[in-house]
Amino acid sequence: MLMGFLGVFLFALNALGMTHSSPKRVLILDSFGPDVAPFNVVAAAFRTTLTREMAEPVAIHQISLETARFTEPEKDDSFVRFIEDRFDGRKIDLVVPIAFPAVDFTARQRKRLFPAAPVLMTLIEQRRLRPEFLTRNSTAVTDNVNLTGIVEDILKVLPGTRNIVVVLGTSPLERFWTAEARREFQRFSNRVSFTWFNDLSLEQMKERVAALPPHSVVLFGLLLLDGVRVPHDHDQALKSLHAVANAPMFSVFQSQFGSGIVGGRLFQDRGIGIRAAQAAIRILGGESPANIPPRFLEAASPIYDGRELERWGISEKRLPPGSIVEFRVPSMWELYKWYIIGAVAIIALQAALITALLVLRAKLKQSIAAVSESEERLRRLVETTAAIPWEADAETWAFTYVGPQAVKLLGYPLEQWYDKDFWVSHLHPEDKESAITACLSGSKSTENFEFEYRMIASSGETIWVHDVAKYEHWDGNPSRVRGFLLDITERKAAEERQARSRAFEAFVLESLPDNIAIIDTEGKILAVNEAWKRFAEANGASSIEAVSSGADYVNACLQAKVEGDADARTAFDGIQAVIRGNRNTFSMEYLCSSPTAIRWFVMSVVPFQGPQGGAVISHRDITEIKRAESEAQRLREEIAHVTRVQTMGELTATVAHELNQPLGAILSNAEAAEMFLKNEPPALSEVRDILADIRKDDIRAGEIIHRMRALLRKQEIVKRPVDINKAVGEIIQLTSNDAAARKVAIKFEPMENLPPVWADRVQLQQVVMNLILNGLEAMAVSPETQRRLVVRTKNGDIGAVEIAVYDSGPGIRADNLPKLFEQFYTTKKEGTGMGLSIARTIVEAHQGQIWAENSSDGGAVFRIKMPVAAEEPA
Amino acid sequence: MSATQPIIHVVDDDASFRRAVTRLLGTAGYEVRGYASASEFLAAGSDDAPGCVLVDLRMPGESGLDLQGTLAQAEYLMPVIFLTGHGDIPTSVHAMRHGAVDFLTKPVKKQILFDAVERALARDAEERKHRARLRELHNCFEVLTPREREVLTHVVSGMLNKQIAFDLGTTERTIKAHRASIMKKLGVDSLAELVRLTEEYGLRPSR
Repeated sequence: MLMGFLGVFLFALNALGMTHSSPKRVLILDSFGPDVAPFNVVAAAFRTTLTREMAEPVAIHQISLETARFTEPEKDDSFVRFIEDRFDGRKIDLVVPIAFPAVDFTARQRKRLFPAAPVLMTLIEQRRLRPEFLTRNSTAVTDNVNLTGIVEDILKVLPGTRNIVVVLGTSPLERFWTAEARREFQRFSNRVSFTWFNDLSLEQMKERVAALPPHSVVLFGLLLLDGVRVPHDHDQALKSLHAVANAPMFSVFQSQFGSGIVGGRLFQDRGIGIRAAQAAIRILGGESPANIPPRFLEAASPIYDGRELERWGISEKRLPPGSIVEFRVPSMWELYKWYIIGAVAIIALQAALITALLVLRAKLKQSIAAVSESEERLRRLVETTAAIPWEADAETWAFTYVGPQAVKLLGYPLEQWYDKDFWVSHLHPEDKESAITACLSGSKSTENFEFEYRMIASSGETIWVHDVAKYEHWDGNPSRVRGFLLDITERKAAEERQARSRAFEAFVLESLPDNIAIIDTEGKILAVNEAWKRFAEANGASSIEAVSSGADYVNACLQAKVEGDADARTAFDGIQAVIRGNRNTFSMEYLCSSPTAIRWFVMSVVPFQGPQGGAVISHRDITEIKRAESEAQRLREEIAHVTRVQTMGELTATVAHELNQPLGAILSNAEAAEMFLKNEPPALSEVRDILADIRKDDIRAGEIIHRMRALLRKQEIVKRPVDINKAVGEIIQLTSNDAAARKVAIKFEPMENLPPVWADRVQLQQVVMNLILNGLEAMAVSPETQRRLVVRTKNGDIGAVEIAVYDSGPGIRADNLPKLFEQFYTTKKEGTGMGLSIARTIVEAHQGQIWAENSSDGGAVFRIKMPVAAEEPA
Repeated sequence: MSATQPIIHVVDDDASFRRAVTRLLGTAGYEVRGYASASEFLAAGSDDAPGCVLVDLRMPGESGLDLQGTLAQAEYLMPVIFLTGHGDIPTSVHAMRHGAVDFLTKPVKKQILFDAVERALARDAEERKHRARLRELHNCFEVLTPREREVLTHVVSGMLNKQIAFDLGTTERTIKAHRASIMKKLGVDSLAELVRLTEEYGLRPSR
């Protein structure tokens, strides 16, 4: 596509010049530099042809307009002066500008520089050949760039193409051609996409062409100045891209054919140079350029590089008509045609001989085969069944024949089976004796005998075999033994698994501590475990049989029911319900008075999930659980009771305050009444009001006393050394129900080996319980998933132990913190404001400390510090 | 100073007790006002009438001790009597140390209550008198010029006019003129009287 700069024009040579005998002087004006491809190709071809074909001597000068690569020459002055100086008035017989920048320069400056010299423009593309360039004294030789034709050809030879990468730089010339190409390529936009590399550096282009998506091709236009303004050698750039490209490359210039491009209708740069030289000769010979019309080279045949076609799998059939393929990769045939023909002739002769021999041999074979065919059929049958046939010496048991399947059985090559003692030495050590014994005893009869034993395979694995053997006798003595071996390893493994699983089930049943019996739908016992038997024995069962498999359990219950045992009646009904499917499960607790002790049991009945139905009955001894439960209950009651009780000091203050309130009012009222009565006349209505008030206050006082008495029941403080972890642990257990009901997870993190504290255990527990219950309440407003309560114990300062209760509630408002432990101070709607106040009183009575804080991660922390018990408390 | 009838302010959250005490004090001819809480009392303000405050120690919200603190901060100079259903020793010590007139426990006998109230009113009257006298003195001394004050402090320290003049860098005659002016302004005739008055006012002699 781009190329187009050519143009050639001839101008009639000055008639005067022709008469000179001095050499003709030709000035080549190139646009980019003497070495810049593809322009140098034109210059070189021109030079060579002119020098060769010109009869007279000719002096060829060449000057480069190098700046044309970078900018349009706005100011030509210095360059013009340079040319003037160089030629210094010497006559120039022909000016040959190459490519548009030089052509343009010549048009601008010819009047000044060489007003009389003819101009032959080359390499000027038709679309850049402006009318003013063509004068009576100028002509052009050039070629056209058929941009759309280039793409059409690409799509023809590579119809799958989806993307065409266009390599063009950023010099003014390249920008011109980029604009042209973009415009002309629009018509292909529905078939392929175009990627423009103008802005990339050559290095970036290399990276890109190395990783193009499938169905891409590279169209290398012109690269003089890359996207980062680095000048490049056009041909070198093409080669470096071709070296890494993962897609076929196309170019515009014929001079690049053979450098890795696939080919096509190429711009005839070299041809222009030659034709221009021919035109130059005419002009230098005196012909007027006006007589030589501008010439565009006739279209050249498409030309393709056979190596590239092969590389990209392009069939020659796809090439445009009249295409020429060069560098074709020769085929084997082409390379070695005569060798091949010779070799084939010799082979054909030999084949004829061999065929004749084979015919003879086949005939011979047929007769042999017919003889052994039936034998063979039989052998094949025997040797392909699972059973491995064998035959051995009756004395030594050395195999004389073994079916080929034996290889697979133990993994030894068949030859090894024929080793003396093979069989005996590969018996499993544990089975050696029994197998040998079986064999020996089998030798005494002529009957089949079967036995199973293990053998050791070459891999070390154990293989189970089933052997069926029979001795043959000769003269009453065993002569040989033959039989079949069958691999039964799989079967044995399955049997073993089954046995193990049966045993496992039995073990499971036996391992359960509960007393378990399984009964059928009729109430008959199917199975019991050991625990059941012991249980029955301990409970005075008449005999083991009476409670073991086969006994009628339901009937026994029924019997008891009839006898009026209430528990037995309930049990009977429950079992019946489960067996009949009326209930999914049944359980009852009952007291069992054995001869030795009173014990609690829970009986549960669930359906037996076997196909035959029935039920599983278990009796579990829950005496310990019951005992612990009642102990916990007792403890809970004790604590709950004490929770209502305050210490002496606190009570005194509370009672005094509460009681003195009405008493004070009564006294003052009474004394006021006395005064009113002394009035003259006595203020009786006042006295009546006073009496009513006195009565009310009296009743109030009575109520207070009543309430206090209820609280006053228990209150000696008994201090002993207390294991704080144990005491706190008990409270956590007691409060776990509350916590669960409030969806709070309580976590206890005790520090090991804390010294005992000197305290009234129950009172201390009361305080901790109060703090835990407060924490639980505080978290009622928190989302359920975030309710956590943690109780920690640890060594506090020297001589003290600390208990901390963390909750994840909203924490305590800073202004409430100092008042928290005051009496009657409460933040709860229904609180009395006594709980924490009592807690403080108790803790302080133990010379301890209690305080609250907000923890760093939200929520409140209550801490208690208790003094450690002295060595020997008095 | 003022012949205004003194007012007894009763602050107690127990309405029945408040009513009873109001009645009792009423029979003795006192004017009594009742408040259910410290904040109610503070909100009512004071008309600067003489009187005292009878306050319960334990109340929800601001306690009696809190009220005492608030009053002291506000330079509310009314005497405070505490009344409580149960007073422990540390609390009463604290209360007395901070200027309580009395610390009574409920039930309180009439005579004890009246005596405490009388004592409080007496203290109130005395303090009011003292404050009035101070105000009076203050007014007298205020008319002295700064130079006269300077001279006065030298005079009451027993210095001779000559010494004073030397000290203040002036003439004996000028000092004499100042002295005469001071005596006249304060309405005293003798040096002894001048010294007494100055002491009462609390102005310190130089040196």
